[in-house]
Amino acid sequence: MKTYRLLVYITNGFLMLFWLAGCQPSKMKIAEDSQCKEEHAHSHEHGHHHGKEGHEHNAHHGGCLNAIVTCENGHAEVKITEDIIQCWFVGGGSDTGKATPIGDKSITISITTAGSTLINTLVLQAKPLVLAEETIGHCSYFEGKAPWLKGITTFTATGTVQSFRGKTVPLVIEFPKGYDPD
Amino acid sequence: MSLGAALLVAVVSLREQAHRNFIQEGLGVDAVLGPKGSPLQIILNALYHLDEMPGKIKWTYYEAVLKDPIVEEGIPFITGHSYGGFRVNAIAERFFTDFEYVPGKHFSLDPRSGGQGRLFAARDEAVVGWAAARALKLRLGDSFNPVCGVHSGDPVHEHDQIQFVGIIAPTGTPHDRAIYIPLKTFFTLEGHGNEVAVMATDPAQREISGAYLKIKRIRGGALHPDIQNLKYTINQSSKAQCVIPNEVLPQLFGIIGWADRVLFAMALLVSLLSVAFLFTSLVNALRERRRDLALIRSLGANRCIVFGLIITESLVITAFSAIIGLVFGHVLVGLGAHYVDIETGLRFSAFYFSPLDYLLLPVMLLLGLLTAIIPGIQAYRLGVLKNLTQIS
Repeated sequence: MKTYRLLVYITNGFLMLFWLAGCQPSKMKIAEDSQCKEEHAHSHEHGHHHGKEGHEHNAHHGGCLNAIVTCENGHAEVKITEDIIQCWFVGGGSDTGKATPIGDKSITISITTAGSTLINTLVLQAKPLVLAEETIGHCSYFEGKAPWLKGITTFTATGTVQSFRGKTVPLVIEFPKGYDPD
Repeated sequence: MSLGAALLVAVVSLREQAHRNFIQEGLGVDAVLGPKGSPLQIILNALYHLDEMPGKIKWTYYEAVLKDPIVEEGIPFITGHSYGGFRVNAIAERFFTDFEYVPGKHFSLDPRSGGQGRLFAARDEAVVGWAAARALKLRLGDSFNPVCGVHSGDPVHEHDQIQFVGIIAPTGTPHDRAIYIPLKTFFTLEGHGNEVAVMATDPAQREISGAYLKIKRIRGGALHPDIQNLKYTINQSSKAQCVIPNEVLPQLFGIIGWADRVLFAMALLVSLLSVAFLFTSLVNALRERRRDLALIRSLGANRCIVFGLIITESLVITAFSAIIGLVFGHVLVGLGAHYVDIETGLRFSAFYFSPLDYLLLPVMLLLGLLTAIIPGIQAYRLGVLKNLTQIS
């Protein structure tokens, strides 16, 4: 009887261990995470902290998200690569993976860099995404290039979008932390 | 114990090989350009010849994608036909010369690799994967009429006789289970109607099921990082989508992964219960043999030797169980691999050794040692005089 009681205790102990062993990260997740170690070639989206607190949205191009008036209205995802500023207009809320074409052919922004009072002007030109069936006047991607952009890692920019969902809206960009008035 | 060990070995081996087969770098495909619809459905159809493509894409759109700077190459294909239960896919010829089904490996028709014949060169010629040829008992020169559909009862192209001119050497991939015809043959099959026939000569009208895309590499062989931009851009289109296999397949494993976790848990439970039964049998055996052990003690063996006898007995049992379980587990994998190969074309090997195979013997010996400690201590504390008392 004593032996059987001992056997029951041991079996229960093994079962407990087995249950705890099940609470391990799956090999698949480890395989997925290991993909992050490849230089630049990981195939999941960047999650960027949108603003000061709380909600996160995915910036699909690795840039920073800037709310157009409000977060739910839409975003301008901005990225700077060497001397080029890239800007994608995307959806609001969690729809940051969906392009939002606008009617503007170009957008003029005023840029202030950290530690400087100098205001530079840059024109972002519409570059339609052909594979997304965009055209000038129905375009979600804009690009602006200037030699003085090289080496800039922090800046603030303001401008106006004439036709975002049919309305004229202010454009505020805070790079790299993003702009979220909510 | 052997059964538990065999189940563990088989489950882990099958799980790891399945993972490797499904994930092996997306079966040579960096991305699939397909119609709007379920990404998983597109991958299952394009790579595994299962399910159906949810639509078609325009040839002109495919050509526009090829112009993207990061796209190195595209191989268009059309699915939707079958023969004898195997999919008949129309595909560009360079699929057999340029496409690497795993990095560094191309399809082969070389007899030294197990292939036969040659690539198709005419409208009414086909090549077949090794597994499909074996299942259908096909030989070079045999001919068939493709079925317009993938379900039983679908109409047959009765006036289109296509001859097998090549059998592809085994690749261990689902491509072994497919039959391939020239891309333009699809448009000229009788019964498709004029709107399909005109696609053979007019690219503006042409539609395909999809295309395998090869993306340029950067240093270190990594995929070009702009693949995500390409995917984003194409997915904004109303006409097509870009699916990356290595993103979709882990989701598939996430859905079905619970099944192998349950199997693994059951195998682990059987093993642990068998250890518990070993403990019980050692304790019972000790009770039955206490007189014998007392006799051994009286003949000069000290307590440590008696303790060692119990430990050794347990270790021998677990060692034999581990070895038998290891062998039996691989036999189970071999038996299962045969049926998986028939059904999916994916090859599993009975000679695949997972890390568990190397750990099995040491772990089971350790468990045997731990199991034998309590009976060993009981044997150690056995009273000689008390147990030598005559039983009347």
